[in-house]
Amino acid sequence: MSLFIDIPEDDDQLPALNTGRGKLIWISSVDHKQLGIMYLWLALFFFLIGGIEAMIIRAQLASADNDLISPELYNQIFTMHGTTMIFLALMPALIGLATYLLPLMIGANEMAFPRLNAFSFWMTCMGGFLMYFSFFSGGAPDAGWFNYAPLSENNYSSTAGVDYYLVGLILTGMGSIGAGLNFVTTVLTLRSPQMKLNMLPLFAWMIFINGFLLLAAFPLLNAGLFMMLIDRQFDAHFFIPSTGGSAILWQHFFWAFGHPEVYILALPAFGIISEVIPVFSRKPIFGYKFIAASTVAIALLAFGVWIHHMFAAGMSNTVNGFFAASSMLIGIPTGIKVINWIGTMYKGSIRMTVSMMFTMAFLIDFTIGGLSGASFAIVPIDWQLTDTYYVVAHIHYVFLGGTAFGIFAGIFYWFPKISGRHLSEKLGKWHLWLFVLGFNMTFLLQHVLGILGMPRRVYTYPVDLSYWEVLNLISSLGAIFMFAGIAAFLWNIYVTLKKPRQADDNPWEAWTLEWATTSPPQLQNFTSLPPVHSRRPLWDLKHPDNPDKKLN
Amino acid sequence: MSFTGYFFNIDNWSVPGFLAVMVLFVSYLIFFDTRKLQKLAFGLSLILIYLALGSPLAKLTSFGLHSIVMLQHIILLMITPILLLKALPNSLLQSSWLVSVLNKVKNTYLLLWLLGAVAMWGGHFFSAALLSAKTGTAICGINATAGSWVTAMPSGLSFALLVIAGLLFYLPVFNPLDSGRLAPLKRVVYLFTACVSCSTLGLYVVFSANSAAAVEAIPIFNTLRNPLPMSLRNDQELAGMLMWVPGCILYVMESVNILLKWYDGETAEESTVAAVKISKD
Ligand SMILES: [Cu+2]
Repeated sequence: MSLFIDIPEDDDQLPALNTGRGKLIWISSVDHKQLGIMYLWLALFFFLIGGIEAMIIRAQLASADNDLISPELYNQIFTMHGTTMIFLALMPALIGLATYLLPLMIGANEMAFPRLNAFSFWMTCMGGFLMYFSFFSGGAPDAGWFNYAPLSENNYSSTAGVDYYLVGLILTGMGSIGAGLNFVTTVLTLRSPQMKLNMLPLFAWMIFINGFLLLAAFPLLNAGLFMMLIDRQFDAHFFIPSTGGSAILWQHFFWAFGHPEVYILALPAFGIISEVIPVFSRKPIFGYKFIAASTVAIALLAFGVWIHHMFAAGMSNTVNGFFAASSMLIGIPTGIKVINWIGTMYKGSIRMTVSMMFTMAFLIDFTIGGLSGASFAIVPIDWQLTDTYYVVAHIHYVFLGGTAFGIFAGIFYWFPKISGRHLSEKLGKWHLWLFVLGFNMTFLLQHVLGILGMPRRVYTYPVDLSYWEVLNLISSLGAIFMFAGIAAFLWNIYVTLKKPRQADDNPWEAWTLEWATTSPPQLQNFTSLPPVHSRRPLWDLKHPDNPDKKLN
Repeated sequence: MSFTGYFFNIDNWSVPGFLAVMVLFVSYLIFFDTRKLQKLAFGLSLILIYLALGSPLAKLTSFGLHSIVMLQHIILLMITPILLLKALPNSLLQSSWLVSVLNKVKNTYLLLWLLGAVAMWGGHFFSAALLSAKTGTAICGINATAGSWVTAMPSGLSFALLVIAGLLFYLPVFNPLDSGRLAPLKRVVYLFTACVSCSTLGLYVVFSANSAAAVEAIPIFNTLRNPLPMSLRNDQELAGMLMWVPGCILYVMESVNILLKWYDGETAEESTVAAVKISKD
């Protein structure tokens, strides 16, 4: 095997499911693959909870003057829906995929800090469950997922709900910071010795950049959360204007975190898309360097646009004007990516797997979300549409039509690697069509509802507003389609996991390193590595007569 | 006085400045054998310097416009030095003394980064004080009297210092000698941290503009702002935003440019590092 370079392995075996005994090993394991899978289960669990909350919201809004649930409970449900989906479903899903795949993609056997990795997972997990205990202690948080002061302060929110929100998010935030540190260090120190940084697979590159974003953004959020916790528990005044604090300051903290958070949720999805498209188009990625460099541009600019969430907060025209400009500019690097993805598909021999179809749904729906986002960069439009259902539609096109579709594409793509079994393509297509159609049914019309003036978070609406009831009803019907789609997905996972493991090492003919090992990989990912001289090492191995351009 | 009237008034365009620029450019063309792009870069840098110091734009500072001072700083400290480094004629690089200096300069990059930051922050507060001494208005929270020590500094010197600081700051990134530059990713980090620094300054200036709001109540300070009728508060916000947003975007674009070249695997130096690593294993 002179072709391969041996990888050094620790003499001390780290705790893991395959090596340890007893149930406690589930808690003490630090194997990155197992933690990745646990992240994914956690995400799925909370995705279902958040989905049920969404169904309750849509049921309440399905008809006019409805009082299916009380207004108080409604506030709690939409707050928990947003918080759950962003912090407990999308974040763990992406961090989970990254935790599983990053070492495999760069030819490493473990993350740089395996114990920190476990710590991150358990922090996220406990933060999430802690937040849900609020339902049993007098009421869940009810001030919206961005928890604006002074509404979230003691005098307006006197139940313990907001405190649970604060402590829960502080914990998950710590987990995310740990994950970010781990990603960055792993990429910097554990790559195959031949793999230069400019040879990283795009998913690994995006996770690398995302690590920096996590490290920079989450401390901002946690600082704000701690300050509000001090306000609420120790009667401080950081965000209480009547006693000298500043409520706007909370918005600055939250959105200085919140806008980068959009990219923290988008970049890994971009990474997945950038892996899936070339594999199923039978072509190398078009414009690798533009996709990779625009990611850096996005990461750098992400911290200079947050005021576009605060156009209605009374900043001056000067400030608004500049942030309008920078917010439009940040659309350019994303547009560049979309063009390169389409360029990759152009004249490729496309295989219409479920993964590829989710990728295409991503391209369409995420672009719609990007365009509605750009429309918000225009300050007067923002003033008109802020806090309406137009915003609700926008955020769902970005996070659901974007990030979640990307995650589905990634799950279908990597499932054979992770479990050794192929998800059923047939059930997958049911999942895809039900979900994508339902998604567009629910959210496309919400743009119109927003323009008609329906405020977000509104509990109900009177019957005599023209079109409101029919549009809301269609919206709610779409939610049922999505629910059915997810049911198909769950059934798919269930039946697939009962089948024997028989997936090939490289079933899709992909060219990155994770496909060079068994499906699923052994505890030690690699005993030896193929030579790495380009961004597609397995291609070079299979086509020695026609290798890619050598980069080292 | 309307803005267009002010702008097209020939008295506001510096004639000696224009002549100096022309002489400089013509002698650059005559004495140095350079590439087209270098000529363009040099010409552009001269135009920018003229705009910053000799045009009606520059004269707006006598109305106490803080944002104009910021614009001058951005041009002199952040933009022209890049152009000047690009325009540096090859013939000057024959001197072995200069070559050895340029090659060594990257070893002191921390110091040079610091110098850039000090020039940016120090230059900002210094000129705010100067402006305040000139106009008797508090600028960016700084109050200086007409006889303050800051007025003793000749303005030409402070501008020259800015350009020099800018040149030194950019050397590890845009060194005309390839061997004198930092590794590509280090360059990106160098620029990004500078971007954080300039954003912080911009952010500070913008959000401390509230303190200017009180002065706004006194109408006379608004009349100072002819021919651009801006309130003190708007002026300060504009100053901060100029530094924050376009300043940062400039660094981001430079970083992306470096990265695009780096992805193609242009540096020979890096691959030898990787090779050494492999042979060790
Ligand atoms: Cu944003």
